[in-house]
Amino acid sequence: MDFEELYKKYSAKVFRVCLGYFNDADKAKDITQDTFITVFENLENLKNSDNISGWIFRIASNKCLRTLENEKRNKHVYDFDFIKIEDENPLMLEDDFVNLHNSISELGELDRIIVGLYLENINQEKIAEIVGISHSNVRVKIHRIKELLVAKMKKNE
Amino acid sequence: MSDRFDQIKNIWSSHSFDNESTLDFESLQNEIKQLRKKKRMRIVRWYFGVILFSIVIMGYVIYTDKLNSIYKSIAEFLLLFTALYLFTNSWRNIRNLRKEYLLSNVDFLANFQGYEMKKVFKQILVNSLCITLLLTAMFLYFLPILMLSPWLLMLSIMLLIICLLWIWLVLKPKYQEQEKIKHNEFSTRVSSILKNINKI
Repeated sequence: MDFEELYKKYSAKVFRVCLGYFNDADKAKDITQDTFITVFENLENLKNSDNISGWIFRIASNKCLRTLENEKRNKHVYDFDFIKIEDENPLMLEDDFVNLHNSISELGELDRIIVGLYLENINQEKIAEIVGISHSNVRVKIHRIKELLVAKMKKNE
Repeated sequence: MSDRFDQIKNIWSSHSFDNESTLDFESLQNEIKQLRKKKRMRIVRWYFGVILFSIVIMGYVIYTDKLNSIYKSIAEFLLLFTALYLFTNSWRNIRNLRKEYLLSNVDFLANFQGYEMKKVFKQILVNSLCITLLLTAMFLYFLPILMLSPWLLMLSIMLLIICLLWIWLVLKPKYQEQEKIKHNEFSTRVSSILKNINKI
């Protein structure tokens, strides 16, 4: 698969996962762009092309986690502007969508990544590989996150 | 709950974001082109700078050897060593950064937690070492002139010792302490994420 195809196939998915993590469209856009620059630079060196989606999501999620380090350097980045989407409304998003992202933003860092990947229909084995935990742990985590999200969505309605 | 979660799935994918939020492919290509150009120029400039610096220093070392100035030769070799050390150090940092995106999130975080602190401490050590080498090189370079007056020689030795003690006993520990405090918050956060993810 060439780079253009990869970009067209995965950019929106990566953006959604990043948006789930940050709840900030600008940050999600930057990380998506940064992810595909890394993909472009390393595509030729990729030995196993069977798990290309896993590889792309792994790059994206690690880039999201790298921002933890920026928080250390830049204190003002620490509190992500969770209501930014609602405030600026650049994408004309519905209340449900904002509510969902606000609920996701209340989860822990890796839970946000797990739920983003799950909602992008990545199978649990692949999620376990990307995150680096066992399959059974992913299954239990997803079950708990589902319960939590449903409860939070209900509460925030 | 399953119905409710299906609804969540629908909400999640209700926006395709195909055009509105991600860059179009042409813009991304332009962005990559610009970045690669900048990177290439930076690498060319860096290589060119290091090679030119090494050639000039080596040439000068050979030239001054003819003049039999052993102190100047040592000073120039110290400068050459410092430049090469900085070069290999920065190259190693770039390579480490490339490898880390192949790790899983948990390995990345665990590696990141330990590696970042080591990296910062190493950088402080490298900076202290390079400044020490530069000051020593400067001292050795001017030593033949300083040796003409015993007072000047004594004063410069004292000054060098004070500077080195200040770097190693005041500046380095101070920066390390500052970084340690900053890193502790980050480290606690990463530890809690890792602890949380292993809890079923």
